[in-house]
Amino acid sequence: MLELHAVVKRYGATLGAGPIDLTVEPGEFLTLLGPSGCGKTTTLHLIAGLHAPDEGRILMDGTDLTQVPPQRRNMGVVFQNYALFPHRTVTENVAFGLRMRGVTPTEIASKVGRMLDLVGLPGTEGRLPRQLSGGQQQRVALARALVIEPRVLLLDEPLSNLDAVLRKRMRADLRAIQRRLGITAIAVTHDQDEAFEMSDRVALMDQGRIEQLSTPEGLYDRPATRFAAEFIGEAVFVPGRIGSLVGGRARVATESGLGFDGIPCPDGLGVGAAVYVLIRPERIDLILDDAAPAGAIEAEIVDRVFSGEQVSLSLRVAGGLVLKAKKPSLGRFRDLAPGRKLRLLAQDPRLVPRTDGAT
Amino acid sequence: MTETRRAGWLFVTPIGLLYLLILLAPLSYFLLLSIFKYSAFEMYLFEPTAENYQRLLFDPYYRGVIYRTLRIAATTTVFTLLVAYPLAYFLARYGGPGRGVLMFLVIAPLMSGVIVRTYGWIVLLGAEGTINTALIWLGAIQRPIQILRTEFAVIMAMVHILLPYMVFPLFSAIVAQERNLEQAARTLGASNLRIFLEVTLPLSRPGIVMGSVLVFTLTAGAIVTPQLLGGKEMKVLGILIYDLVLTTLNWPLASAVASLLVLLQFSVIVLYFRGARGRAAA
Amino acid sequence: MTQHRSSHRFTRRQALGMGAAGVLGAGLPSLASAQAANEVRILFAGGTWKDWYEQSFTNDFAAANNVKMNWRTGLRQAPLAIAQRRRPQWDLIHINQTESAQIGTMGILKPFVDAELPNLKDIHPSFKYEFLAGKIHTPYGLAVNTKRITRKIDSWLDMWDPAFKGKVAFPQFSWVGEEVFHAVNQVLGGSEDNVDPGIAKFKELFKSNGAILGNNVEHAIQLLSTEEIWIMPLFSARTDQARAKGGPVEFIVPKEGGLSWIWNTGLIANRGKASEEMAAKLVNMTLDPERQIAFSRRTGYPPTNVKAMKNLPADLKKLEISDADLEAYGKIQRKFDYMTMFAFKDQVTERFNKEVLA
Repeated sequence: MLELHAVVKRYGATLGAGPIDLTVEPGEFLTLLGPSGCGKTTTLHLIAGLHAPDEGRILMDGTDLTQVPPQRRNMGVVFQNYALFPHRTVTENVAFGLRMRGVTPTEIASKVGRMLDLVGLPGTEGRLPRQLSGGQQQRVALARALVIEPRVLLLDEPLSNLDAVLRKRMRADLRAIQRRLGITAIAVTHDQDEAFEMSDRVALMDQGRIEQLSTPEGLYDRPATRFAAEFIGEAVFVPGRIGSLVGGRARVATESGLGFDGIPCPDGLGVGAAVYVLIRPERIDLILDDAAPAGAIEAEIVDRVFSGEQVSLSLRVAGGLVLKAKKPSLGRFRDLAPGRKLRLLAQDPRLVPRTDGAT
Repeated sequence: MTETRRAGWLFVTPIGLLYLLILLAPLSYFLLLSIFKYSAFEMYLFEPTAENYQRLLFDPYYRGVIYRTLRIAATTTVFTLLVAYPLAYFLARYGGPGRGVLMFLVIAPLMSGVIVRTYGWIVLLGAEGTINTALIWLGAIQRPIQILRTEFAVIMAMVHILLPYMVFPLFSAIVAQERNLEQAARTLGASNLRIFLEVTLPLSRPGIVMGSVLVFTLTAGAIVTPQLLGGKEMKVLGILIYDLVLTTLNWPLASAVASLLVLLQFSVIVLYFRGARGRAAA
Repeated sequence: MTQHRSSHRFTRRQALGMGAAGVLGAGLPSLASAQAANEVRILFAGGTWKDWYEQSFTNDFAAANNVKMNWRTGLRQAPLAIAQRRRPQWDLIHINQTESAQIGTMGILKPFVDAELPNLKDIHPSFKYEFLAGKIHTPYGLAVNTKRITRKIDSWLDMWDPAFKGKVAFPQFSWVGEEVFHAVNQVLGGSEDNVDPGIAKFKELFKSNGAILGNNVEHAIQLLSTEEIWIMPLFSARTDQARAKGGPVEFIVPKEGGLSWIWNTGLIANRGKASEEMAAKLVNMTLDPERQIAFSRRTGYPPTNVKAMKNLPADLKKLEISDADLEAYGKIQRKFDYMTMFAFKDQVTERFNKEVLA
């Protein structure tokens, strides 16, 4: 179990990261997700020991690592640019960490061979990094980090230098390898899809701190802040206030005159609190017939964008508010055109606190 | 031949002609002269002879000069490398105000002539010079020790004079290295020493090769410093050529010495670069 | 003076360039000679010697004759003249009597004759040679540190005194050492083609008495003024300069005879009538008594024109040299057979390098 306790890193006067409290369970795949400059790479480097924290402690299975130099932390790091030794072959790159540990040559040979098999690179042993494709280099970097049997595998934007197709495949491979070895892994990325597909839990970071730490589902379903909601997926935010609270469910009146009832209310918000009602485009039901379920709203299509498997619709509702809806581009949704009037139902709206001046 | 290819040739034509003029013409001139017979009054006679080379290669005196030249050049190269590497490493890796000052100090010697710098060393190394005076004052020695007119003095001054030629190629090679290669090595368990020996140093190879070739060839062809600091015993190929051309006026022999020097320098360059390439491909 | 050889960095490339100039020069028409003489192309020494020369002669000369002086400064200009001997590119070459005899014989220089140089008839015979006449002459003897050396010094052979071990310097061959070596060799009974006595004796000087080589004027002055060296052959005026820099040194003319170099510009042949006449005019000016006195005042060396020697102003009286002294300076050197010396130059130099220095 890896623990970070109130860890702070400053670069001169500017905050690099912190204060960060984080616990990573054994065998867990955790991703630090956030925009550039949010402190996610700094946090990873603090764990690897490449930076020393200004405050706080880092513990591994109860042992304090804070003062332990990186060469004695036994963490496997995969760097964003892979940092392969350009003057050494694939085998030599992978064997490097084992040699530093004084492993015998026979054992090195067998371990390196097995690791190259695991990452799917047999046959490249004698090549130099520059003779490999980006994806192959990535796998060498992974093999080099894993072969030392590290306590934690640290991945810094591991897939950002790969093309889209390769990236998708590597996500699955990475996850599979991690599961197979049962190793604790911490990755850094700015790509939400990547984070969600690979991770058990995601720590969403902003301005040096962890904004929300949750499973991918938890982040998506229950974003704690507008930042979290915006960063994860698409959403429309409708400003309003809590009118009443019954059994943890709120009734909200929006400024545009819409009313929403029975929205689960996060802790700490009471009647009269300024909130956003968060509506996700993929959770909007369009009613094309005459049915009129409770809560349905009159709307008119004002824009349509076709993107292959999906159509995105802009829908104007009462008060001039425009909502977005995403539908599969088949059957009855395919031919919806601007000007069409219909009704919609916003499923699972969520509340996030509004802190931007409204009280 | 494509248009671009032809345009490319057009670009290298002027420099090619210049090379032909300033390099190949004199080179062929003295290669040719080196196989002519020396004559005091005619300068040379158009009689092909091997005697200039024979004199050079079989006379222990001239052989001694060749060995001395190579020895001084090799030793100077090694010591320059030893001094320059930490300096280049520091310049490449550390910022701050000290870096600019240090960079200037490295370049500064290039701004004064080689004579000025050599005379500076005379002042420092002489019997009544700074070093001897200081050693006597400290009680380390009783009488001045002989530093001037030794091979040691020549090498020390050459190291100083040629330092920038080694520092800058090294600097470029070190600065070009990805910083996180060292970080990667560190996370894989390498100590500072191992990181240096296994990563930083091998990746500095292009700089080491370039700097060494420069320092070696410049030392092998040096005249002024060996002359002023080395004294009468310190005859090297450069001085030999100088004397033969200007004083003795034996141009055929001077040409043979020059051809030999160029051949030696060229061989060293080829060997060095071949060695470098061989390792890189391994 | 032309003796500060090493203050000019002569690189291998320059030597090559020189050779190339020779090769290329052979194929090119002599451009300068085709024109009317509106410039004088002169190979000269650099430094203070050139400054003094310009102030005393060429500044006025260029103005009076409406010509431009085109300089190429450096030490040891003879090789360039030799390289260009088929197609000379320069009008004048700064040179001493030894070199003038040698390259004159190769056909590179025109003889000095009264018809072309009206002032030549007033030059003392001691300073007139076939291809050169001095504008000054440079007495040469021993520079002696009189503070460290208390015994009387009056011979070249005093350098061999074991008391001066490690404190003796001798000029390099490429400076003026070759002539000084021949002088001592002849004192010892040798000749231009028999240097055995000299070689044996100098081996002793370098091996037993720890002599070192003096590279050039600056080096000599530095060695004497820091008292690293107590005794060495040197020019009179340069000895004065070493004294001015703090070296307690005196100039001594050895009893076997001192030496003396004359320095002037030789007239390069085959340059075309106009150029040759203009060059001769400048040389004639350097032989003029008034001009020579001005030059003597700047350099500290005595004039060669008899009228100038007889009419030295009060402040220069110390430069006056009696006929007896003149005789003493010429004693050894006047007997030199420069051509034999030249013919054996290569062998003697090599023997000196191998047997004496190595």
